[in-house]
Amino acid sequence: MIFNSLGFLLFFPIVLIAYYAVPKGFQNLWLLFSSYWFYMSWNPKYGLLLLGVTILTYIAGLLIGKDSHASWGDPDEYGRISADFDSKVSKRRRNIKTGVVSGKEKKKRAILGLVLFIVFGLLCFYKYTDFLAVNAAKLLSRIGILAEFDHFDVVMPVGISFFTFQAAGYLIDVYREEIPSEKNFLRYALFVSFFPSILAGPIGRAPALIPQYSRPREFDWNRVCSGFMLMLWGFFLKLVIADRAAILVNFVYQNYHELYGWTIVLATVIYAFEIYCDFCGYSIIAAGTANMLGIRFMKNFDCPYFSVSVQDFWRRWHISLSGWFRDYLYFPLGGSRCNFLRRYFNVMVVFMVSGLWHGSQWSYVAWGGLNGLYQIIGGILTPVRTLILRIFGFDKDVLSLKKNPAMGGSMKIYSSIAPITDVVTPWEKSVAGKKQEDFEEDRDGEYSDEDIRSSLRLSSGRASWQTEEARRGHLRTGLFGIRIGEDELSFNAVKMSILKLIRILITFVLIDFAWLFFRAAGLKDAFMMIEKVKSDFGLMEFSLSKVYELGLNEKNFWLLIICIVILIFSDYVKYHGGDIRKWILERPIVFREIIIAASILIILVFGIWGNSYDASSFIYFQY
Amino acid sequence: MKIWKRTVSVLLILILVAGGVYVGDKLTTRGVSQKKYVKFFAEKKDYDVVFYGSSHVLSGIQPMELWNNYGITGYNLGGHAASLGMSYWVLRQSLRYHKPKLAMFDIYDMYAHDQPYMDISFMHYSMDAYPMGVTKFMAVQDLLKGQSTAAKAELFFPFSVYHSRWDEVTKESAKASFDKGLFNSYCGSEIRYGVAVPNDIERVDPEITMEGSSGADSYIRDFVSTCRDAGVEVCFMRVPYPACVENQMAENRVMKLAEELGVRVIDIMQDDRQDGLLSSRVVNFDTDLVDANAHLNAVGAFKVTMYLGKLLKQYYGFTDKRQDPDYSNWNEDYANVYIPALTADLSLQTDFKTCLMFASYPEFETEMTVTKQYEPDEVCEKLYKLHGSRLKITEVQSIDSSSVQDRANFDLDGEAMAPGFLISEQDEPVVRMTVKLRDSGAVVADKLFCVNT
Repeated sequence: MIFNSLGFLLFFPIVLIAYYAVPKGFQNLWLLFSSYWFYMSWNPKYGLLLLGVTILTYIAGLLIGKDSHASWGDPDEYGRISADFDSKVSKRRRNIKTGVVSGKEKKKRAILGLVLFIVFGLLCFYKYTDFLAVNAAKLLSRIGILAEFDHFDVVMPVGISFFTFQAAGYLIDVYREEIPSEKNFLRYALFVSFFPSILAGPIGRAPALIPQYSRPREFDWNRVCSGFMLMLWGFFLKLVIADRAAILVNFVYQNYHELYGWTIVLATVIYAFEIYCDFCGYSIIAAGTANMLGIRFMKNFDCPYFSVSVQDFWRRWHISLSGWFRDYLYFPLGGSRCNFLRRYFNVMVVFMVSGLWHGSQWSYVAWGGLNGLYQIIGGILTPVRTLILRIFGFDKDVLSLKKNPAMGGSMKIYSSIAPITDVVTPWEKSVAGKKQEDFEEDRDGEYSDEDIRSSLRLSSGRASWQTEEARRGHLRTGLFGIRIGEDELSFNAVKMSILKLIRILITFVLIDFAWLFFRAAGLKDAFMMIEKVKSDFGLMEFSLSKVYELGLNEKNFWLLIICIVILIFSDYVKYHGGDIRKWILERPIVFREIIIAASILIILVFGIWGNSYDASSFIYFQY
Repeated sequence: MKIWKRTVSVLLILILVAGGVYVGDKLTTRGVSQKKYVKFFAEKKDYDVVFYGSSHVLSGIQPMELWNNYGITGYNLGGHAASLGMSYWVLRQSLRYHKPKLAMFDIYDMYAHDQPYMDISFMHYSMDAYPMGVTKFMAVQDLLKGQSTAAKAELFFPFSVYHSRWDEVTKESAKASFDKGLFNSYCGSEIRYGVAVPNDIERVDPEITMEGSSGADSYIRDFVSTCRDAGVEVCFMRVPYPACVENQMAENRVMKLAEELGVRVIDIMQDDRQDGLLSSRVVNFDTDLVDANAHLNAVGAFKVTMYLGKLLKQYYGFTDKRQDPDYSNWNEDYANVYIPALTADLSLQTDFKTCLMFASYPEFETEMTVTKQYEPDEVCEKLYKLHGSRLKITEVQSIDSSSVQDRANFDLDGEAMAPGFLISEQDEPVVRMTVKLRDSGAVVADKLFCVNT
């Protein structure tokens, strides 16, 4: 069952109505039952795998967190988790660092290691056995040993990459005593298997989610409406944009041998929007579904194509996965608090593992490696870039996010208006209870130790200074959020805006180039496509009529372009702290209803759905 | 107050969406199925006979000729590639609108596949016009047993597939979508144009049957029992076609089953030649087929209808209603809908043999002026005979083409050429064919044919 299926359209209303109809004490049980039903509709036997992972990590959590003094606290006050908590973390780290490790600690560590080994072992077994065998055989053949093997013919359990990461994250948090272990099995099982996120995330964090399952959820009309509109937006992104874009992209990527290089460039640009709308669409539908059930998810995307650097992009793209890798891989490796060689090594490890997480192909590893490389080269070239910008009359600190927060796209952070998904990012979470200057200090480093804590300080509230600051910020915000003078648009502000626009475009080009490796059927194809672009670009052969021969006819192509413009506009508004959904919900009753009905009709008429089309599954299901 | 507001809000959205989907559905639907059924649904009186089956029936029976020649009211509910299962469900659904005196069911291809196998794209033709309801739901569940929910949804709610045609909507198509005056002009049937000659086929002894599937047998029994339960007489028929050996064996089996069920079979094939090859007394395989393996062309359908009408009168005693004022709308439809549609179709034909075949309809008379370069083959000679005395051929030195704009191709090899094949102005015409309506003398087609080199 996928979100854009008839099954889900029948399943979800039943779940929703029964959820609010049953006594509050049974809500979790009903959700758990529904979640297993949802998951097992793919393959019933994998429900046992999910249950196995849940029981294993639940027991391990109890054993590891036996003597823990951590507490959940008030879910609405995540941002104010006590100083004790921080000191505990620090103490634990100090102890580990200085070698003062007690017997209990060793035992907990052993349990954690063993369970993580089993959980990740399962993931590797299903996902990488074939990949490893193929590559081992190739390696052996190079040294003259002929190895033959049968392909591993087992269907990967859908969503395994997501629920194993979620469960592993919980265990590590318990081990770090950042949270207590969850005693209630029902609640924990729901945390691992909650149906909106089990197939393709977002990868939820225990401190953010488990306390939400502890509270009874009352029916809230506004929240249900808001969630419903989120779902509509998600369906628009998936069905109208992503699946339409997929037709052109698939056509070009499958037939690139017979096409000119410019078609590959065009398809790769379109692919950037396809994968964004596909994955972001899923995340938004998931968030909307959860919202309607009274559960808030973390935001998974934050206007990624408005990023001014690759580093900035990775703060805005698949935030839940990036955050997971940051907290449970990058920081344990040493993060950025080490010499530059080690730091670059850490970055490369994280991105290549991230690439491998996406798929057992070298092209994914290349995609991850390329993104890591961008950041390393960017770091090395910072002095050169600064020099060039100074030649053009910019301030020496123009590239510094610390000195120019607006350049870092931080307008959202100053915003008082909730982002469109009404969920909070780790970045936002850290804002609560802090002063603005403190925040700007944090933004300078990519991942500071402070971020470890801030990522866990979840706050649903917004500090009061934000509101005022945001209002003033908006009044003084020009193109792309560059702050301008109180009274008029200064020359410097225009210059800064242009610089920002250039940075956004350069970042897009770099990210999009990496998408080519991500989308290509394999590494060999990716290089052949690059060669094709270089050797047979065919610029003189370009014409619109030839564009219409790439799978989408004229009307469908221009509909796609219009929808992409709508998406960019929506992200632009969101980037500046606006909230179109909230604006619609505040309109008078008839106007609002017309907008909602029109949105549904647009999806129904222009969406790529129905039996004739192979309802393309969400891309991230395969990971 | 809040509850009231929320209820209004939800209702408003539902109404707007339902309205939008209705309009969207109207604008994007293909409409062929709806057009086929407009007249069927609109007819107030029950029919004498309704025909069920596949494309063989669709192109093999002309209800308007049945009316014009025998005064029998009929409607053709045959469907493209309709399986036995589909015909059964078409019967079930159609009986909700009309209970004819007789249901005639063609026995072609009843054991072709594991029933109710049928390509879903063809199912739309037979199903789209029927509104959503319990019977349609059951039909979809049965016809698409074991298939995905999305496939079932496609048939039950066709907007799920047609919405993607939004890019084909034009001002004209939008107008046509809401035009209730557009309907199938042939009482559900389709006329096929072209002439093709099949290879000789071995005749199978009627006692030789094939192994059939129990699924097919049960559909046949259900078809019969459904008719009987509804008080409708049932009769099987075999529309003539060059049936392969397997098909003949399957049909032999159906005939045995019909005997067991006490159902009359009207075998229009009338295969009584004794040379071991399959033949038909009713149609001529050399002139009356549109494709070499299956379907009758316009003249073939005319012959079959004439033969069938005679037997229907004889077996079922249908009264001639041509003079009955209650049925005057049938006479009007014949004169104002059927004949104009027929002539319009004739004027669109470009293949010489197709025109010669089509012009042989009793409603027309034909004049041909030909040059010495015109060399008719054996098929042409046979087609002449269809016209009887209504064809006049004059040989001339050269054809005056100044007053004729309609040029077409003429194929000497007897193979049908692609429609719309263009002949340049420089080509020397060898035949001029002028077709007129017998009653009024109005010219319905005036065509020049050139030798295709």
